[in-house]
Amino acid sequence: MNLKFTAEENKFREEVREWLGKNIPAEPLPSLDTAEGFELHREWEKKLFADGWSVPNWPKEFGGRDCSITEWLIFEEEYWASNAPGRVNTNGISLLAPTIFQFGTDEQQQRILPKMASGEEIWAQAWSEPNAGSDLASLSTKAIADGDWFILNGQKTWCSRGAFADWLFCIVRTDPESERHHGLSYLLVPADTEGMERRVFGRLDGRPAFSEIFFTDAKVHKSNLLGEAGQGWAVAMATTSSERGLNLRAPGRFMAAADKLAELEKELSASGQYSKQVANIWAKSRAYRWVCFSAAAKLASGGELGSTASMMKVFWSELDLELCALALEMLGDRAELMEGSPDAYNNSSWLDDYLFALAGPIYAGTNEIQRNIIAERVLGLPRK
Amino acid sequence: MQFEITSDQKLFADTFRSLLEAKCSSDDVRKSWEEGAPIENLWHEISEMGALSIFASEADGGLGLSEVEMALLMEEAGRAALPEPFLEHTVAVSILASILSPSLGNSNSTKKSGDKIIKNQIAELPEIFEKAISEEIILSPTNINSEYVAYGNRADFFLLAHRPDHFHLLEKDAVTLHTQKSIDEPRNPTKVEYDPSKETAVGGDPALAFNRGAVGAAAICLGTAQKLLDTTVEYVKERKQFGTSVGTQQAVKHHLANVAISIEHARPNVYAAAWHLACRDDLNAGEVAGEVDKAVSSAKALASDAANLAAKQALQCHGAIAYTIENDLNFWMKQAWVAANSWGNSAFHLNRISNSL
Ligand SMILES: Cc1cc2nc3c(=O)[nH]c(=O)nc-3n(C[C@H](O)[C@H](O)[C@H](O)COP(=O)(O)OP(=O)(O)OC[C@H]3O[C@@H](n4cnc5c(N)ncnc54)[C@H](O)[C@@H]3O)c2cc1C
Repeated sequence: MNLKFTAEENKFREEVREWLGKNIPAEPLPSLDTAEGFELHREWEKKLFADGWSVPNWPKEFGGRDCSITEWLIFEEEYWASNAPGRVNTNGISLLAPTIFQFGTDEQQQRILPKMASGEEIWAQAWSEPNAGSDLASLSTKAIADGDWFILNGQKTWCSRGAFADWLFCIVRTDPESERHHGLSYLLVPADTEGMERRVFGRLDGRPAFSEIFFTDAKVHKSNLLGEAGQGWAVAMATTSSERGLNLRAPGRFMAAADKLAELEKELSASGQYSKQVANIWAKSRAYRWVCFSAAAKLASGGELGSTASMMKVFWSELDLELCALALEMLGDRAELMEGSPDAYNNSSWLDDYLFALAGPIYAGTNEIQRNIIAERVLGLPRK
Repeated sequence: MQFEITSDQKLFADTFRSLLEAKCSSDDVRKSWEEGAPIENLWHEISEMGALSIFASEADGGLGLSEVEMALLMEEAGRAALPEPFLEHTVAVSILASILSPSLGNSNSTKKSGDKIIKNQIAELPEIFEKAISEEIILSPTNINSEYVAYGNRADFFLLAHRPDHFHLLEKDAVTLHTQKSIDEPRNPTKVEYDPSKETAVGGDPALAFNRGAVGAAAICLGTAQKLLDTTVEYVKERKQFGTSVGTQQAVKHHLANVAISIEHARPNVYAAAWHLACRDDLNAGEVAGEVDKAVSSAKALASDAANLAAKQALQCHGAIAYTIENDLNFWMKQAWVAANSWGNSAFHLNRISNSL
């Protein structure tokens, strides 16, 4: 074991820091979950891409710089510590891309990945349905093959950033007779597909961040099938492992948040009454960091995270919630103030973060489901 | 000792609950949030019931009741997500009531301490009080631990705790308002800028008013938490995943059982705190202040925790369906967070307890 960064890794960190220092917008961008904010964040993606920073861990030919997972974790640490804008294409880059690298044809990789890297095409995940949440395998949206096309009918929901995205990645039932995990396929759907409609609606914070998607005889070309027809479940499970593990939530995010929490305590609380809680949260953010560096080593040597990703997901989502709740407690009577209030602390960023953190134990597979997975697949306890 | 809500008290609370069920449905609440306007006629109906004059003596045309009845009504207000300055106005009325007739306004006690009287400062005081208990004007108090007055946009008069030992009374035209936006949208927390003077000082006891507000907010937390729990219990019975209702899953059952445990252990504490406030003068002299403060603080701390837990688990057990403003649950969650955080949050009250142990 050697926990020292190499000279090369340190140089990489310096380079990232320098670039961010020069390029971060002077004023914070409006929320990426608004029409205006979405486009400004797309511009930011383009800027990152232009200098090779939008997907540093991807191969060069698709717009990355071939960096190691360790370097990517370093990148994320610097990124979050610098107050850079949120990443509007996260679901594409963190969830879909790893699946395309694994299952996509050459043609699909060439066609899709560079435009994802550059922000030209922004992706949203359309898996959940009104009756298929935790039980995703009960989904009923159908895509029936008809020559070179699939004809889609059905409904998706809770599609984050579905309001403004250019493409959706969906799981659909291509075998109408099939049940549960069988007969499903992973299909990429352009948002301007005829016969596809979106209804945008407000999240808990009121922002138009959710979309319902309705398919009525919508035609999608078969070149957009990812993996084999009927193998959608296996392809999808590759994505969920990314979703739960370090891909979606790198530790840098929580390390930066814990550091901000400590600053907040210094500023607002002279009594020391929160010190132990703040220290506990800080320690957890660093614990998650070590978990991720050790996972990185495992992945780099060809291993897989498997069900341990479920433990990471429970850990980061509960840490995030605890962290934001404590910040609000410290803010006292200013905690409730929303964006636009003259007295809102730091433009109400802690309240926004809290509202978002509340969703962490729900999306990417609820924490109840994760705990079932941990108990059954990691600990080997008998199933019900 | 007999720890029991009387049948009269229960009837009073039930009447209020029926009124709110009829006139403050979730559709009414939604409309009020969306239009940024009070529910039509509701304040009038609340006044008709006498609920604006709990703390006014019968001689003054009030009900002559106490903090216990106040807590029962606030619990109902929380259950209904009542988007009105009901707690604020009630606390303000209680301040004026004890300034005007220090020996009255309380069924459990004949003598009152704490309310400092500054005589003859504002000649119109009785008239303002009269109007406040008959719905003509809305009063809002500041609380000694916050810079903001809730529902500042609705108030006609402000009772401002200038220093810890007395209030000033100012009409809205005489102050400058800085209105903020709350996540609990109808509240409009407002910073009030004013010039205190000899002419505006009216007396009253800000510390007592704070305790009343804290007990009232604790009761709102209880009602909100209960409503969140009840709604979620119904939902998880209906919602099916994996071929069975999600309420059959032990993980879900345990979350909701924890909420129930938390509410059931906060509720008697809130009633006990209300009783301590109502009887503060009959309790053993000397120990009173500390005992009352501790009872109030443990009530508010536990009720705040119950409300926060209820909101968290209601959301978690609903899943995404509750993570949208299209679902009515959002009104109760937001009310829970804000009620838990106002009139001193859990951390504040635990600190107050630990300072006096
Ligand atoms: C902010 C946010 C963003 C989202 N973004 C997207 C998106 O972009 N694309 C997309 O497709 N989806 C998205 N989702 C949806 C998300 O994937 C689902 O919410 C999630 O899968 C849970 O499904 P559900 O909400 O229907 O809850 P349900 O499955 O109905 O669950 C309700 C409750 O029952 C529990 N439960 C269910 N089954 C079990 C069991 N077997 N054992 C124990 N407990 C159980 C759950 O844990 C939960 O507490 C998003 C959700 C949120 C909140």
